[in-house]
Amino acid sequence: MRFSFLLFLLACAVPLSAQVSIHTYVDKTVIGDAETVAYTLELSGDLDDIGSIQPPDAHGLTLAQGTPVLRSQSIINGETHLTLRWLYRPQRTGQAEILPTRIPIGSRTIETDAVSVEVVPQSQRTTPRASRVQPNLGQKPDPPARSEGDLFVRAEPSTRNVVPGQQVVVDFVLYARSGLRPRHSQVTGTWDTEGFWREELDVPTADTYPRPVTIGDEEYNAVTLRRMALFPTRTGRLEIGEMTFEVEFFSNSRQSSPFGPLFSPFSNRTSTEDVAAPTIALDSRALPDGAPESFGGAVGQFGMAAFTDRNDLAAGEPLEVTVEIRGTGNIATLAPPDVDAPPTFDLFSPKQERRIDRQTSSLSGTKTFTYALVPRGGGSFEIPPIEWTYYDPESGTYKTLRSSSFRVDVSGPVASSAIVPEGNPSDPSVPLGLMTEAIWQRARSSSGIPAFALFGGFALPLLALLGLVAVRRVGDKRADVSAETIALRAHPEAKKRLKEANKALGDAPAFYAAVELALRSFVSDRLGASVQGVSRSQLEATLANRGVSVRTREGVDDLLAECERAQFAPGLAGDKAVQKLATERAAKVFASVDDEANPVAA
Amino acid sequence: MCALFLFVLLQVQPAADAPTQAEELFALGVELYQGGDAAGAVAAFAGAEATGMTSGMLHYNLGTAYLKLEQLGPSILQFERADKLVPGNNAVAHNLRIAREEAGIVAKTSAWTAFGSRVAQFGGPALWLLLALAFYLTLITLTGYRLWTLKKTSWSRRAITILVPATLALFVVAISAWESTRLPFAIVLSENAELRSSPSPDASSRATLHPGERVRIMEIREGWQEVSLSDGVSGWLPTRAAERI
Repeated sequence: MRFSFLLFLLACAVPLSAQVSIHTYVDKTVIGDAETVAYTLELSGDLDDIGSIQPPDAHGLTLAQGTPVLRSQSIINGETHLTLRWLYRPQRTGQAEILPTRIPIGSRTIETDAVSVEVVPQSQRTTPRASRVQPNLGQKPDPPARSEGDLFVRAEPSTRNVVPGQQVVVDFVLYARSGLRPRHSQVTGTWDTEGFWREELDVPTADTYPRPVTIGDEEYNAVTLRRMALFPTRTGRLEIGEMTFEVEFFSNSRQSSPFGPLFSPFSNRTSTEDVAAPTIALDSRALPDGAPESFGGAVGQFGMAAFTDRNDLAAGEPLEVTVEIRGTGNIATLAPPDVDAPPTFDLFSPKQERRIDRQTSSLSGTKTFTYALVPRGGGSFEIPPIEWTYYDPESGTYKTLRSSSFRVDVSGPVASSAIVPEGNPSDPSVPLGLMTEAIWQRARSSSGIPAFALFGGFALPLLALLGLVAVRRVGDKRADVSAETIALRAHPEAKKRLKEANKALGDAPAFYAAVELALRSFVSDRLGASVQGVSRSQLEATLANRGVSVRTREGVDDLLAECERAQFAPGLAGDKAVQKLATERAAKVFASVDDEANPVAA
Repeated sequence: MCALFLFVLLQVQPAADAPTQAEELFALGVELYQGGDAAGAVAAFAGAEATGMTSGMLHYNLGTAYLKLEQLGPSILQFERADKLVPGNNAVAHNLRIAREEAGIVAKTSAWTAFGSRVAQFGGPALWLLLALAFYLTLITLTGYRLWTLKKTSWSRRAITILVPATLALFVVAISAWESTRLPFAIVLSENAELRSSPSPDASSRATLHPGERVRIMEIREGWQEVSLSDGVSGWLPTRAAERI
């Protein structure tokens, strides 16, 4: 009897409690030194308080990747199932061992058992096979309940109720009554299997030898002639058509005599007969509703491993992400899982390879999808976990496998194509991407400006001004300062000139020249326009234009007239007392002009 | 007085290497975001902000990362902050609009508030207040000179004629900008935040606010902040329920 290549080893089954069960196994107990072995840890039960699970250490093996190549969690009938899988590489040939690992669950800690693996030189390894035996597929159907003649063939399916994609292994078994010994058979004609995708399996050698079966009261020999794996492609009643075999057999008419073989050694007769396996029907029902998005039609029992060829690369170099699905089912027609690449990666269609094992009791194998991802720019990226769902007809549920995420560091400048700088977007419903450059500034205090500071800042200067003016006014009042003094204080140039005039008291021409100069300077300063050299009539007109009263204008004109007279006829000029009066009149004129004159002409 | 204003303007100085740290974290956030790790990007951008440096682009990226994570309240908050720092930026306006639409938020802002916010964006209220103060002091000084000396010169009169309206205009601008900071806006972050009639969890509820809604902070008191809504309704929210823009 041949053994399934991928023998899942039940390494331990630690009875924890009614809440949690643990199951560990490896996919191969014998591996080549260039192969890897997948160590799987399955936990089920109440896993709410489960802690961090570390991959077990190993002797003679080393972890191929620190993170699990598979992390799958599902809830079936309220029970949590967690599956973790790590890949180990052999370090040397010989006996290797995956050591126990401790798993914290709540306040308890459970420990798995060690698992042994034999590492042999790769040259001693045959083509690897992937399989996980389906119990119902491995079972041979019961022999027919009634005889259909001396020689007949039946199509014996592993099941008659299926869903699309589910594997049905059909054995074509020849039954020959004792005395008939099949020698050779071949299929004749065509075989109609509409509604199925089919693959031929190898018939195990043991099954090609006659095996005694009892049908009714008759003894028969059964021989498996052909084994087919059929996969329904649609729902409904599907028929497996008639298959006709040309069977060559020996018949021994004296078989009943105990001396026949001894005395009639050549009495066996070879005959050929066409024998047809009748048509049988299968009922193909639809898959249950509620399939996850990652379901692509896979039906059977599968495992998944996903890994990258490296974690560090340069921008523009390809990164290979390999997703390996192995198991029993419609492996040949599996659709590639979806791989989400970061936005700055170009993702190419996966390269697909499949290895089908036809030597097992059901079709099994491995399908490998290798995706090429090419980063356009540098940075640290994470490729999200890869999810893949299959339908398990044995449990009648969808099961989702999930890999871990992959961290990839890409050297090189950050890709700019994914960055959408400011600008008018073309699609108003799609957010724009990030900005890659920032203009920095120091963060402002969020305390703001207090109200007292604001109002104080504005009120204090005003108050200070008002106070200053008030003090000045009070001081002036106390000193009984006249309007003339105030006017002269406002016009220091005129005041200075009047002082100079006072120095020339007694010298009439000089005195009056200084007074006239002081007067004209004052008026020029006050009006903002020079009145030096203008005639008296022109000056009067200018003053009138600025709103100066007639009386003040007459005062100005009288003073100027007195100054002219004194300068051109010094003998008519008065004495010092008269000159001093002229000074006082000038101050009054200044005050009047200062008070009345508008800055702008009317 | 000037010292008072300088005191107000003084800020805590970030560490000397803060700009470098901020740039490194900013670049890391961009990388993480591009790698599909929006949550990691948020952490990196927040780290950049924690250095004491800020940037409109930083807040924009934070908002975009939050938007990716479908955390609309923080996303809108960050976009609003970005809008304050880089006013008129199309990308900020675009993503802010999307975030508001996803949150079902309709932005309502009065003309005076919008004016104050816009004005405050250009140099902040302190600049406007300083400018207004400079004009004001000039006006006061000139007036004081005239009143002190009683010298009614034409140039001083012309100067006063110009300074009075200019100072008034600046004062209005500064006050609006100042008010926008004195009574800042905040964005609601909590789901179904109850607007209470008084600062107590047992007080009656006046309204239920949703993440992304914009409120004005009137007063802050021991874990509570009094806020007013755009429709005039006011009440108290826990301080953690809304964060200042």
